[in-house]
Amino acid sequence: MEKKDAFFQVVADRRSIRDYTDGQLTEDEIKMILESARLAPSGENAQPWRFIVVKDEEKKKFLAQISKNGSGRRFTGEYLSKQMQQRFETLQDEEKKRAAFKKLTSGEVSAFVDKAHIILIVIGKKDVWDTPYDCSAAIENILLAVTSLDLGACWVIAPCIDVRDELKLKAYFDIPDEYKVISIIPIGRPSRVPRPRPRISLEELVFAEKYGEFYYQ
Amino acid sequence: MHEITVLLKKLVFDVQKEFYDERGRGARYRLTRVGVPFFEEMMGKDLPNMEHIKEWLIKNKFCGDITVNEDEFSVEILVNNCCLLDIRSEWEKHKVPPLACPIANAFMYSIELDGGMAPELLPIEGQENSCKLTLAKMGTSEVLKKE
Repeated sequence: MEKKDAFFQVVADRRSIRDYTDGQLTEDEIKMILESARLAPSGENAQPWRFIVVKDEEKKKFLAQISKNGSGRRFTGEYLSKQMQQRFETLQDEEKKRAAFKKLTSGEVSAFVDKAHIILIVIGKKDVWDTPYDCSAAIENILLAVTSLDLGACWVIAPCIDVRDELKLKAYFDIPDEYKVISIIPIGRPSRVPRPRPRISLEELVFAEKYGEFYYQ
Repeated sequence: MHEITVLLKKLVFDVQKEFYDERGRGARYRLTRVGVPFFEEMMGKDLPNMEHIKEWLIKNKFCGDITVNEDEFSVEILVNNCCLLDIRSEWEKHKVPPLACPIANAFMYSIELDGGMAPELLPIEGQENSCKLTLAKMGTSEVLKKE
């Protein structure tokens, strides 16, 4: 297979994997994933990313709980403010709708992270210009490397999007104040690979020369 | 109003707006601690119960009046004539919902200290001279029972 075809296949095959077998990653696989992150681009080559590899069950449970709380809190708020009902307005099947509401408000949608063999905590130095962008590039490299190894991962921000949760996470893992927690990435051997999510077409996404003039007609 | 006070309020809005322009909606989750250190300094390290916060805010003229209603899943706080109303008005002028409220943050922190779970601030509902702050106490699917 040509390089461009192999690359596009990996990009197209990537999914957010939330179901894992008990299978473990090898140290070679872990190293390749981390190496792909290390090679990501960064502003002024600052390389502000640092990674914490979490395998300990108790620590993974802590991350699962804090993720569950973060998601559950947010979606319960969305339910109470009726934003969630609006979002699912077009879903006609009441049973499916209720099941989705239940999963979201309970926080279960983010509580799966401890089922993965490892969780990477991605943190970024604050005292550089572009930490969120740099670390996001590293994370995308991680996700693609994971896919190329037939492993599964999910980019999870639930345990650190709210500053209150981020502070708890930083205290638990002894992360110094000069770093910001960017995301966590559970990685394991997938037991279920979901179908691709709907994507907006290029016709709607791309403009020619200025906003509003579609590039693809 | 003294010009320095006007400037300070404008600055608070400008900083939040710039942050919103950079981070988008997620900015609201980065502002859930804003004001808490001040209120801790004023009212004690472990922010006392909601009734005490309410009395302290009124006594110190941060607000005209506050009413608190609570049920199993949420806390509703109606804040009248708050000293920060001008900042909310700036958001309204820009047609963006207010990002954060230090008074809501104080109540949220108190609830978190009390029960161990951080609440979620729902979109702030602005009325003429008051704000309705609704806090979801925690994430729970039990909330589906509430129609």
